[in-house]
Amino acid sequence: MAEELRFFLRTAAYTAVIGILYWILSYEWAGSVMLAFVAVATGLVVVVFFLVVRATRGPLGDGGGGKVRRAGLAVARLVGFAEPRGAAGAEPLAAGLEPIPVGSVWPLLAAAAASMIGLGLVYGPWLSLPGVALAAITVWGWITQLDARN
Amino acid sequence: MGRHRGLRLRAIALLAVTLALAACTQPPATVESDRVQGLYNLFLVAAAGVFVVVAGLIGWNIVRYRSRGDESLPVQTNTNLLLEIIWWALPTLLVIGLFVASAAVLNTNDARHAGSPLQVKVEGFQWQWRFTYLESRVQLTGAPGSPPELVLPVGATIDFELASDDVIHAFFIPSFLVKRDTVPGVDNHLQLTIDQPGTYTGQCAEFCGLLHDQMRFTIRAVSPSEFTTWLASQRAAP
Amino acid sequence: MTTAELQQRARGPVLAGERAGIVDFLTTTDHKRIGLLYLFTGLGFFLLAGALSLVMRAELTFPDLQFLDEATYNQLFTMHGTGMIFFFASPVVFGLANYFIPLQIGAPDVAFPRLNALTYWLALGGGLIAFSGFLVGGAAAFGWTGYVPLSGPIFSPGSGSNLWIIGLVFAGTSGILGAVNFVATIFSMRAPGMTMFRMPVFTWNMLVTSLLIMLTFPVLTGALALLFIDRTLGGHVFDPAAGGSAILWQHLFWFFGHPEVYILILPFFGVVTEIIPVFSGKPVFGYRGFVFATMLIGVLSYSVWAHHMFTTGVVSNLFFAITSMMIAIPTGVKFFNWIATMWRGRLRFQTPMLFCIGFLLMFLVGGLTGPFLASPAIDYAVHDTYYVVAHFHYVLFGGSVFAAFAALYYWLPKMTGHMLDERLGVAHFWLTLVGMNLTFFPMHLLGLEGMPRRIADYPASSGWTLLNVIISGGSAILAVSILVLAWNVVASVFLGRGAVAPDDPWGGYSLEWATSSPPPHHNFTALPPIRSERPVFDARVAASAVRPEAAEPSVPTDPSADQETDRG
Repeated sequence: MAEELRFFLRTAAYTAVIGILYWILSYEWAGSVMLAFVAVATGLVVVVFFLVVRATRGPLGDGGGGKVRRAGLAVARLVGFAEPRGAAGAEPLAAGLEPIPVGSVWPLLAAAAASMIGLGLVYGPWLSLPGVALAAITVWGWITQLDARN
Repeated sequence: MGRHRGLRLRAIALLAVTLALAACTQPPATVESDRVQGLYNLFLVAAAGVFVVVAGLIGWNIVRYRSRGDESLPVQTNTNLLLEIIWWALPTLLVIGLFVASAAVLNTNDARHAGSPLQVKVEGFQWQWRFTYLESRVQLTGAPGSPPELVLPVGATIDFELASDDVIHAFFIPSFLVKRDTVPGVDNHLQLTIDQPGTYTGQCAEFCGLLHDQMRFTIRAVSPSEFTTWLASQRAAP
Repeated sequence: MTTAELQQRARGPVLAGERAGIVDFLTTTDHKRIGLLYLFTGLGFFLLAGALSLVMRAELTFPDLQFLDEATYNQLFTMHGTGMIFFFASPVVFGLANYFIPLQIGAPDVAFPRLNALTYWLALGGGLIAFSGFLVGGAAAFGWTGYVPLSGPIFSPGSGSNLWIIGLVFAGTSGILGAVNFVATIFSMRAPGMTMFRMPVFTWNMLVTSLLIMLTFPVLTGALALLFIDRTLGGHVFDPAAGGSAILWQHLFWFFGHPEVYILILPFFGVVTEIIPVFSGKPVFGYRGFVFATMLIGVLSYSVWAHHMFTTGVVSNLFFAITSMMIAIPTGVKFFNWIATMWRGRLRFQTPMLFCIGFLLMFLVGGLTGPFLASPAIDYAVHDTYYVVAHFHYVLFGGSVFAAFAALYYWLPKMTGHMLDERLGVAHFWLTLVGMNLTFFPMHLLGLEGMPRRIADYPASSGWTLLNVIISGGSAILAVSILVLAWNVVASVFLGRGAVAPDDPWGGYSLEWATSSPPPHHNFTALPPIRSERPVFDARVAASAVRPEAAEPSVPTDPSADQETDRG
């Protein structure tokens, strides 16, 4: 199993074991639930990564069967892993080979929208509602910027 | 420039100070704090030992392996399995030892005593204390600028029942080397036995708002007969 | 790019050979510019939060209140802690990570560049919002730990506390998104040949840090949301009188809060593990053991949180004592790795290495007081006293800040194309070392004498005055040391007086030294072959082997020593 997966698996294994131990020793709900959820979260990552990585990276995915591979590819496209990344097997990078985004105003505006919403939670809807509107505009602009560039 | 000498001097100075640290704690005034003081000294010796070894090695490196301008690369050693096993094993053993000592003192100090200890209810409120001797119903309440004086007998087990009227406070007596939080909604107990008569200052140790820094009290530990007399006079007074 | 070409470049903080204006920085998605924004924002909050602490120290020098009232003092220590932890240390970590993770793995940028920019603006916004409490009638004043019921609606009414919550939610969200970005980058954008176990230790440590951030900041955000609901929407989650629990806040906060301190130190362990090998002329000793120790610390940090709650009486003190002492083992082991790295090396003591040695000694002291606090019986005596303040300042200042300074001297040349002045650096180091010890060592003694923390004032009868005077004196020396650093950075970088930095001023090992200072927009024009964790070192060795008439691969001399600082 790739080191990337083992990395998450170690945390899942430890927090699962220690969570059970902690519950038995203390019957304390908050800590036990938090440990359990850390184990579930990292365990989930291992499962999803395993499917996705098996589907997209040759050395790991060669043994994949039809159904698993298709499922993995579907997930991979969903999260944007659809093709093997150029860096995983191609030549060393050179200037101009990969288009690097030059700049974008949307991150700044998104943060401004978030600030309006956040401050609006303290000061009132007169601030947060325009913030929501700006956030919607930002989401639209962010997504469509990619199309315009490509 | 004598940098290595400066560092060695600093190591020695720090060692001297750590020894001063051992002397600078409060003289223990309860049976439990005697054990804590002993445990602390054990930790201090271990920590000072580790410090001398590690700082010494660092100092040795600085002195011995300073680049003297000769341009060749040193041998590029980057692994030694035996060394790594040793330096994982030694700290582990040290930690196990310190834990065993800690568990022993903790279990003894936190053990609930059988019998009938003197019960005192301690209630923290913003920003003073209220002490109630449960059996005799004597109550002392502090006011801003006049901290209450809690009188207690030497040699008897005292059970403090800790409560809070509002936010979290902490009942802290430095000379007793102990504190316990007063948490609203939680029934906390602290048991101890004073073995040195005297007057001890106490202070709230959990930040509780505006005048947290003024939330003080004193404990006056007296002989059991003096205590009985005092308690009787408190009961009689209006 | 050759040094000659570099010398023709314009002066000042230029990136990729172009002048960058305000608009460029406002819309940038380049990880290098975002890294610089993070770094200088973090340093700005360091100055702000540091100024707050100097005001506190001025008040605490003598007994009785001189010029502050308790209400102001309580805001100062709250925002000092909040500012340093969330808006200085984290942004500096993210700044260094942003700049150097892609470079160290041979990538042209991070996986999600626009998201990267968003995380910066959220971090900046969060800091401004949290501190804006000072402008609206009072900042939060309940300590950076925000314990309930004190931080609830009854005992801390006022919008400053609400703004604090919002600011921290921003900081948390920024961190989580940034961590996701780093993990994605490290997993999927490494250059050919860069296997996981050939990554530089700094990148490894950032990977572990990112995992910690992803798993624990959501807990903080959740707790803050619940507190906000209690405060503004009539909730009673933390209200004991209505069936809620005051202790629950502590569980949630410290489940985040303890991994948080490892989030604040692990990247700096990585920085130090970059610098020490380079300045020892040797590879890091026990690379795999070191990576394993880092992962072990990360994993163990989930199970120690309630050692902050020993005095509450409601947690299993034995369980947390053993887990907390266990975590000292991998931390301590790293010291032996660092020492073995230096052993039989050729040590050079330019400023980055000076700060690393300072780090080793100061973090050693702080690390050794940790086990005392992990022993519940001892903790009962020193919890909530200046002993704890001493401990965490030794590990945070002596650890994180010293290593951050080391990183500045080591990496600012790469980031800006200018070396920092070496003599000012040495002066900065000694002032910091002396100032730091004078400020924080006596706090151990004060704690043992029973001086609680978070008090605006103490009586003369306590006998604590002398130590407080010494501490305040130390803090004044620290203030001077910061001025020296500030002047060095301003003069060398912004006024352009620092010597021009070549590609590789220090004789480095990792890929960031295989490109110009600063790197071009796309980071690399060509990469050396990656066959070990030291690709640039390997390339240097190979280059000298090819030209046998050249000297043996050598320990580089200090490049700024043989150039006059530029008065240009």
